[in-house]
Amino acid sequence: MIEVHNLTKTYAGGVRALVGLNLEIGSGMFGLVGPNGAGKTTLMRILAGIIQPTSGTVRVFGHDLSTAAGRMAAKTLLGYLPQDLGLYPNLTGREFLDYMAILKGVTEAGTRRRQIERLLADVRLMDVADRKLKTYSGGMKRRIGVAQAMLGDPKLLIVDEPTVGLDPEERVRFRNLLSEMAGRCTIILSTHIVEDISHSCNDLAVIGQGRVLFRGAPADLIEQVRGHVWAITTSGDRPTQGLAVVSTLQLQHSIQYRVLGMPAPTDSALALEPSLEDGYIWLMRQHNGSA
Amino acid sequence: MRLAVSQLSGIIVYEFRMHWRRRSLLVITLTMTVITAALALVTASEVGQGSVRQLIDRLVQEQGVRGAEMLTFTILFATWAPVGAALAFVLPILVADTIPLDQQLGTRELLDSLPLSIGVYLIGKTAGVFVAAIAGIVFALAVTAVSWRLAVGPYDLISYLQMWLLGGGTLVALNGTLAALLAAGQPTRRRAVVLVILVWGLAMVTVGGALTGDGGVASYLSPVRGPIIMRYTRFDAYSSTPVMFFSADMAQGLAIGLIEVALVAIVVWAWMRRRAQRA
Repeated sequence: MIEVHNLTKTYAGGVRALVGLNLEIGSGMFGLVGPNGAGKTTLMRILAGIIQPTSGTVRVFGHDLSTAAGRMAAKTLLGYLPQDLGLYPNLTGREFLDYMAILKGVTEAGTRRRQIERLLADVRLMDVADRKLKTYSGGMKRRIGVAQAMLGDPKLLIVDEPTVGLDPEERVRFRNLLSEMAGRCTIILSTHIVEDISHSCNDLAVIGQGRVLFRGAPADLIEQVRGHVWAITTSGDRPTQGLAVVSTLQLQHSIQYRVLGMPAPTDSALALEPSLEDGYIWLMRQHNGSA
Repeated sequence: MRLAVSQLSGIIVYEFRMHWRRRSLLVITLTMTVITAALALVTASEVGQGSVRQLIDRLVQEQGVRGAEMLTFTILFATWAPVGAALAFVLPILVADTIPLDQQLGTRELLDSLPLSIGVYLIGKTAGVFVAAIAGIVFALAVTAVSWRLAVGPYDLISYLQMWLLGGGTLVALNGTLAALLAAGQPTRRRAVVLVILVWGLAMVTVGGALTGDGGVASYLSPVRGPIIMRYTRFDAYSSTPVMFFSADMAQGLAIGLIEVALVAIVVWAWMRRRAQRA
């Protein structure tokens, strides 16, 4: 269980990344979605014990992160995949995992070896395990990154923007991998790609400008926009009148717009089944409109 | 405690591998080995009126110089100059990026998320430098020892080993770890190297007399390490008893140098802790 209470983080220079954020996260796969600069990575880093908040409290499985002892205890329970994962280019994949396992506290060599072999198989990097990391592709680096996060059988896995830079097939593969791992531990998946959340998370929060804008199940976010999603086909003029254009499809002699809002009676609008992305855009539009 | 010991040994093992795989240490070790081994061939070859071996034999006959000690002195004089200079001046530049590389490679954030204390991290990184450099010294001294024995003849192995291991080991322990610690706060490899070059250059300018070992405490503190580098000049070929390379003043130099390194380590540790708390 992760408990965040009135969390604020203000960086030097006055940048307020988090503003009185409250959140409780249970088991399973939890999605954290928001635009760039919303505060997602700041929150991830605080939960991972890397940076400290300006004020507020954070407890990870009962450990208070405001103390050094609490942070150290929490770090033994968690695995972290940062947004910008750095690797040692001259180590092989197997060596890197062994190094990280030692630093995580997997002291027994036999246990370490077994965990590494299992994780290499899980992330399908067995064939390249003895190649140097500098020869790995972007997708392979991400997979070795999630493998190192899973070392030591963590209770909490924090994954920050894991699919950025991956091709569609790799993204699907990565999501499936995380879904399989959600059975073993709590996963917090932070992303600005809504599609990553929709396929795998049973619980999510939307944050914007350092605050929680929505907290609940993906289905609840979708329900908020039901009745406001339309397809408008025109010969060229982009729909306006306060409508938000989600996507544009070029047809042979016309353009089809997927829009959010209430179209004018003169628009030949067709009601559509809402998606999580629609719900997210609707929420952000309402928030930005009221801000 | 068990976790800390395990982490420490892990960092040392992998720092050792990474230093050697980055090739700079390999290149400098091979260069020093070739130079010191090649000097054996030069010493044994016919030069002018005769080889150095013949010169020594003549000195033994004419002036009572002890031949074996004279040859030992020749080996120390010939090999210590390049090795001592390399360890005092080049090694620090090669290892300056030990800690900044974690920032540059982006592994810093990952390491910060692990249950790894700053103290274990610093000790592990600097110990890794020490072990990596000592491995190079052992290789070079072995090859050089065999080369000189085959090319020139028997010499005092104890004095030879003392110079390489105690003299060289001292320089690695002091200058290698000092450079790694001084550059710890730099964000990139390039800035780390520049900082070490500046500090070493400043030390040579401000305590230039330290090279002769006459500068008192300053000579022991200076990264130029004059009393250690110039140790071989204390060798006395006329004495009836061989002069131990590891003498009282060497021990004093090592002790003062270790205190210097420890103080720098404490400052770096405190700075890193403060930075983590304020992040």
